[in-house]
Amino acid sequence: MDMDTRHPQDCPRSDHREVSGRVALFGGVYNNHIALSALLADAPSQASEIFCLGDVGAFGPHPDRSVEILREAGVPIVQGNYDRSVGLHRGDCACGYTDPRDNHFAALSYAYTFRNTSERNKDFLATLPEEIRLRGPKGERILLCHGSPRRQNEFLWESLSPDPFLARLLDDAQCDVLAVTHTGIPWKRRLPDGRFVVNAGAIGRPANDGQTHVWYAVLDLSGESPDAAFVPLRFDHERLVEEMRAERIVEPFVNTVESGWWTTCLEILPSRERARGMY
Amino acid sequence: MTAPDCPFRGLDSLWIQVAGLSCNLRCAHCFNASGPGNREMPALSRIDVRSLLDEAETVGVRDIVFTGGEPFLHPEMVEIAGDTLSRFPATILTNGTLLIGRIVERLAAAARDSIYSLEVRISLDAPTEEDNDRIRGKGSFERALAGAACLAEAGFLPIVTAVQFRGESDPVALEEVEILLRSRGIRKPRVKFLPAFRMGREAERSGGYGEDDRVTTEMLELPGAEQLLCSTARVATSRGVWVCPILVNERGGWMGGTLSESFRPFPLAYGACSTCFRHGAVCANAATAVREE
Repeated sequence: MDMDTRHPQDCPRSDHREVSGRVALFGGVYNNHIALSALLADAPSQASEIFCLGDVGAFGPHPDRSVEILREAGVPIVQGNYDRSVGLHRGDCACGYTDPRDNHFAALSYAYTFRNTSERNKDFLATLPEEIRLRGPKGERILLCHGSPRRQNEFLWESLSPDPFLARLLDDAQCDVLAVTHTGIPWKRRLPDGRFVVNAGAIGRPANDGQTHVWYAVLDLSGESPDAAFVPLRFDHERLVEEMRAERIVEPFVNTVESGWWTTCLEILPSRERARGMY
Repeated sequence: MTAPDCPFRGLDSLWIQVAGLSCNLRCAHCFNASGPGNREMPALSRIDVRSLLDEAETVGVRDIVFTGGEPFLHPEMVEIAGDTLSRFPATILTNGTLLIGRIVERLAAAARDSIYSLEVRISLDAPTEEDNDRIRGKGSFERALAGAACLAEAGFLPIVTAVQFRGESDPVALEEVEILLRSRGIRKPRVKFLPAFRMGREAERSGGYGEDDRVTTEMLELPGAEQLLCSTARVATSRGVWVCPILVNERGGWMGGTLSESFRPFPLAYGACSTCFRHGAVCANAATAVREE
């Protein structure tokens, strides 16, 4: 597990790429190459730029397909804990689960992804940056990262992220807009001082809401202050189910794609998020 | 040998010993020897807690954890929970025996009004009445389960914590507790096992720690060391601020009179530190992963 404290002040501001208008943000591909293709077809109608917040691999089929699609499309990618583990040939996904049963399922999907990712793609994942910094039209300092600015695999849940805590993370990371993923459930918050946090959710699996579609976020920088809209993304989930079964991926994962309810990795959920789900 | 320092990385979790060490039970393994009539550490008032929340806001705390003693012995626990939930996520550690109708209803109303999670952790030490009550006292099994069921009915997802005396992460034991909770109408049982700390009354029972039960400098280099609670948490009490809930009442666990004084590294000099290190995330709400030997 990483607890690297990064020092954003080391990055000279002039290097930060400028963005304006609307920016599509997505994370947690989890090998769902079908949803990824759907996203790349949909997002250009919503936004002028697209960024991936990491975790290309996990419980879906054919990991190389998602990596190839992203490479070909030239989408800038922030490294997730999964990408780092696969890229650095680590023994586990470093997802940050603490329950033995959650870790059991996490280990199965990690072994599958690791085994089926080419060496070339592993090297590519290893070189991804841990954060991307952008500059908005009003000079907003925008930080894209995977879990939190201070830890790649920290879970930022809506019900466990009070305003003063988010303000501290933004202060420490020297940013005004923070975009993350890692938890798989989208949410956003405007802090009392106008700064903004968005969790883009995941396009790899449904958001534990009983729906088969997934979500991505569109960050809107055109207004008075930054905001985000969550876009439901439909994809051929039945084809994904077929591919998962053909690859002998364990049934609890397949069930989640079919039903929209999480069946594993539930113990890490805070009570509010857990209460909304079926299990 | 000098004990290695656990660095302080900023306050994520503020623990508040709201009810002091007063408890209506007298469990055989209680590490801080809480019990009926224990007046060693007086309770904090609602105003005391409010000023702690103000301080927590200033330093950007992530969540507040209420402990004791038994928090629900505090006459204003529900109001304090409400004050907290308007600003922070919160957890209450309770023995569950005082969770009856009216209190739970009011607590549920406070939880509904907040965008943040309120977790309630109930202690149960065995899936049978006989084994549990031997440790926690006669009648405690049924009363704790009734409290958990009452919470579930009000929409809470209580976390049942059990101190493990046999092996840790035992899937059979986990299932036993889940089956028990389901049989009481708790549809989404959440179970967390805790290691026994050989301190307080438990030291008399199990013989305490040996001299080799210590965290070494080499161990602190291992991945996962940052899970140690003392790197990101402190415990506020009516007798000042302590490094962690386990070392409340240990002379070396006292970190200062105020929160800001307590923000400094802590030397991991206790046997209990080795239990915490080995089990990782001992005091967090999520279940614990035991470090491989």
